[in-house]
Amino acid sequence: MSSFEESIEGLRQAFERGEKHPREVVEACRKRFEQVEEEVHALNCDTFEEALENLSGWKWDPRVPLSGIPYVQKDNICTLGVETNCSSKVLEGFVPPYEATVEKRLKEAGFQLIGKGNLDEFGMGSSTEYSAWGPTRNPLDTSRVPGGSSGGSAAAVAAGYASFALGSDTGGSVRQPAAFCGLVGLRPTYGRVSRWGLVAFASSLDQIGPITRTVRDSAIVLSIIEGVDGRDSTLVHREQENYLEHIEDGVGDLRVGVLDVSFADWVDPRVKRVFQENVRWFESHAKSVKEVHLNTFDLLLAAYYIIAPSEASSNLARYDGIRYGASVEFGKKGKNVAKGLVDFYRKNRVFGPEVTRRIVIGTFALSSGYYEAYYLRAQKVRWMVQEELEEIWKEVDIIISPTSPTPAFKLGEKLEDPLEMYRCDLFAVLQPMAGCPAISINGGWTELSEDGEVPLLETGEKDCWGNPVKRLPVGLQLTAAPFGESVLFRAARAFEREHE
Amino acid sequence: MPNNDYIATIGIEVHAQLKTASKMFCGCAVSFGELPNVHTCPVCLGLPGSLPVVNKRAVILGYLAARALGCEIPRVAQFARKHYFYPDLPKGYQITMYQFPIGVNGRLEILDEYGELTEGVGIERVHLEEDSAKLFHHEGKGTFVDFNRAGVPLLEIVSLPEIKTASEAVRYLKELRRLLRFLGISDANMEEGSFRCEINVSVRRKDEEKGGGKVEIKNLNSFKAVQKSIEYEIERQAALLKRGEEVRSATVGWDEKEGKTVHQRDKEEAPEYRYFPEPDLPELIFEGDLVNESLFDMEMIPARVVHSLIERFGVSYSAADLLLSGTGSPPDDPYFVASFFEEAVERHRAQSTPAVNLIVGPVFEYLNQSGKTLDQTNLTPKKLAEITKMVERGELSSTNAKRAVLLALEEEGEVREVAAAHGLIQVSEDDELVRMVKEVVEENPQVVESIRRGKVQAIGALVGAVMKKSKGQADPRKVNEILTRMLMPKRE
Repeated sequence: MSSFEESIEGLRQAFERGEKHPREVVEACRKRFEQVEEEVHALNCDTFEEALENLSGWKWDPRVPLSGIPYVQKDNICTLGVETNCSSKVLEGFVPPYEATVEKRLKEAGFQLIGKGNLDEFGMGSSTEYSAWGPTRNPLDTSRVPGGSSGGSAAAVAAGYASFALGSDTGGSVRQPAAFCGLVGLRPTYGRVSRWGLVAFASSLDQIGPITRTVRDSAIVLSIIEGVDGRDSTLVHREQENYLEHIEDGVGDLRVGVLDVSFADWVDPRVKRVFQENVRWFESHAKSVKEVHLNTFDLLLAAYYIIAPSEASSNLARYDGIRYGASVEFGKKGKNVAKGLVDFYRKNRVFGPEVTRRIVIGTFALSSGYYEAYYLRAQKVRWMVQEELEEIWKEVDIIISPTSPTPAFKLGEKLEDPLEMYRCDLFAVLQPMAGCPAISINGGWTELSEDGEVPLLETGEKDCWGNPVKRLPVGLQLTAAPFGESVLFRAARAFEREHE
Repeated sequence: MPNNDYIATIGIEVHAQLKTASKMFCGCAVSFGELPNVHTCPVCLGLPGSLPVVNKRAVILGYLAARALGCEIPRVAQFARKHYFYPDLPKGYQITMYQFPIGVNGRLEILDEYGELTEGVGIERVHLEEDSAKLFHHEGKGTFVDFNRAGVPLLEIVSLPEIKTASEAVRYLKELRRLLRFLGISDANMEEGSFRCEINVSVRRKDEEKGGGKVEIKNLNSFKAVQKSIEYEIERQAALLKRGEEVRSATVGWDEKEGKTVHQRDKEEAPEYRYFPEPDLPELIFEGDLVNESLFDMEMIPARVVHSLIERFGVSYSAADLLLSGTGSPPDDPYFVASFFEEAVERHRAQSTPAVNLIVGPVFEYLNQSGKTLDQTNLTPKKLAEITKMVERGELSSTNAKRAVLLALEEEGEVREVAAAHGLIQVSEDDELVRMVKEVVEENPQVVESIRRGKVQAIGALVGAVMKKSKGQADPRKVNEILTRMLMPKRE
């Protein structure tokens, strides 16, 4: 593999030893970007030029050991002086005069921003097809979606533009794209990473997490972006943990729960087959493996799709078509003028179909007389699942499940049916609803197995480099109790180490 | 009120800007009258990705207000989002409190016209919220938005609809304003907009249960406007009912020039605010130090202090009220004048009524003219007490007492010396001297008779007799004065 595809740790080592210079790494990333971006469309804008400029006088400095490593920021995370538009027309041209806390911390650590990752508008979607700037394609099979909503971030890493990316995860938006692109995606515990500068979708569910090539890299990035920030009141104050200290300790002492619905009808057989192997691996390595059942599981998706749109309808109220986005003027004639106030709003408040749908759902759910019936009841589901999980955590240390019921699907496959799209999130909403951290790693591939299982792949599909597609990655998701990230990393690393 | 058959029901909502250095959810300075949009940041501009952080000081002041208003303080308070579209609301919602305010079921005690402490007006709720931006409409140019005010901490105080008349409403508002000012909660300045009220008025026939709709009066920036607009509304609504017409629920604005209310919009339907708990902010939990600590003493609320001054010192209501008007006190210690008075009376044994009269009379006049506060002058409680004692002893006439106070305000040194230096002290008439004069008068009836008949110069003989009796100790001028007063009383 060529240099740009190396991990944070790999690059760090190469820089320290003087084997590589960050400039040549970023140059290589840019070259790759220029070759495949037209097809992949992972970025809303790129900042390779600025990164290269920043690196012109670069020297190895042990005080900033990660300096010079390139990353992609999801385009709903504010970057100082770099347009942040959430892949929405209503925020087109918005250049923040401030930056997200996570962005500030990455910069302080010396990382180099090379672009802003495409996303489903405001993070609402599971395929990145709902971007106002057009879909991102999966670099591993360009006929397929990269997942979403952090599809641009995941695709950029998979296509080798950067060593890692940040995404935001409201109902699986980091984990599912990581799974579809064969990467590692972490959703930290709610309250661990500052949301300052993350353009809000659903405030009580949003959490920023890294998309990386390795589990160790995930731990490294988390330790940089997490922690106290006076600007986010929902942060939980905790001692800084050294995640790498025990990350190689294995799973020998861990009790593993297998979420029973992992084998439900609605799970794709290719996913089930890979997951079955994953379970077997834990059975032979972990302390114990048992099935776990959640009574509240069936309520989660419905409750999630009340809470998230409700909060979204509130958070998006500020985009009134006046203060942000390309503004239509009042006038009498011409295409870009508004005839009266109603027309003005109609022409300026240009949300896409999914965002519009959620604003309508959320506005309805919060209206007086309906609040108790919808939002409040959905909140009760959260409390119920939290209670139920508290009991389960007494018996198991981690819960495993597939990350997504299917591998990456075809572009357009689910666009006609929103409910079908929402079902992508079936395994992913438990954690935000319960406030748990979860990590998605590559559990295996949908390749033709020796017993002759049909690969379910059509012929003629190609990856972004023009190679024929033989297989697709299948995500394995590990969930832990709140603030159990170190256990997650340890288990995920043990699995990864033996499947490299 | 000419329409005695009609009864008004009045409820008042007050928004007071809290006296904090920074805004409710960000670090921007709270300001007034500065260039537009200089005190703004991503939070108060509602920019994407910004998050609110609660101003602790504002919470403490809100808590203090709720306590002073005798509210029950629920253990948990919670911010909520209230949604509506308006150009002065940058997020499309206002962060306020809805289901879980800081205080509920309180009462503002009010003094009646005799200075008696009354039950006053019930307080439904007290909660915190953020102010909106300010709009400036420029004819022909459009509307401009100033975000300096956006996010300024506001305290909302909602009264029960227990008020019956315009005067009661004004009394309630004045007492509330005094409370907020004296406890350092708000500057409560109506003209500057740091004390805003919206008044709901409905009217019904005395003998009927149901009356007209609720009319909300806005745009009130003086107590006079409050008084007049309520009177106008009661009159207007009663007239409508009398004619058998309907009073529709509406919002009206007070037109100061025309002296009448102007219909703004109908309010038949309840607005849809889509309230829900603010997910960006944790709940506020009132426990521990904040709650246990006696932040203040209920006896320090201004109405109670006025009442106690009347009770303890027998001063008049109007005088006691003036001591607690804020006049003459430094801004950071509105109780200064009242404490000054208390000290003069209790510690230095001043006569209470003369003392209070001197304060609210010449002292206030002097302070108003000089622009000083009492603490910036040379007057002390001890000096004030001394002056009242000299008046009592007859050493100072009431006119001279005023002059002595003015001197004491400006000059250092003992009151007696300063007064003497300015020739303000009346001749002392000690009892011994008067006794001797009386004896001499009784011993010399003929001389007295001749003096009364007009032989005024004969008084010299009597003076000589007194001098002899006192063995030359008496002051002949004084003796002369006493004799003159005794023998030749002025005719009316």
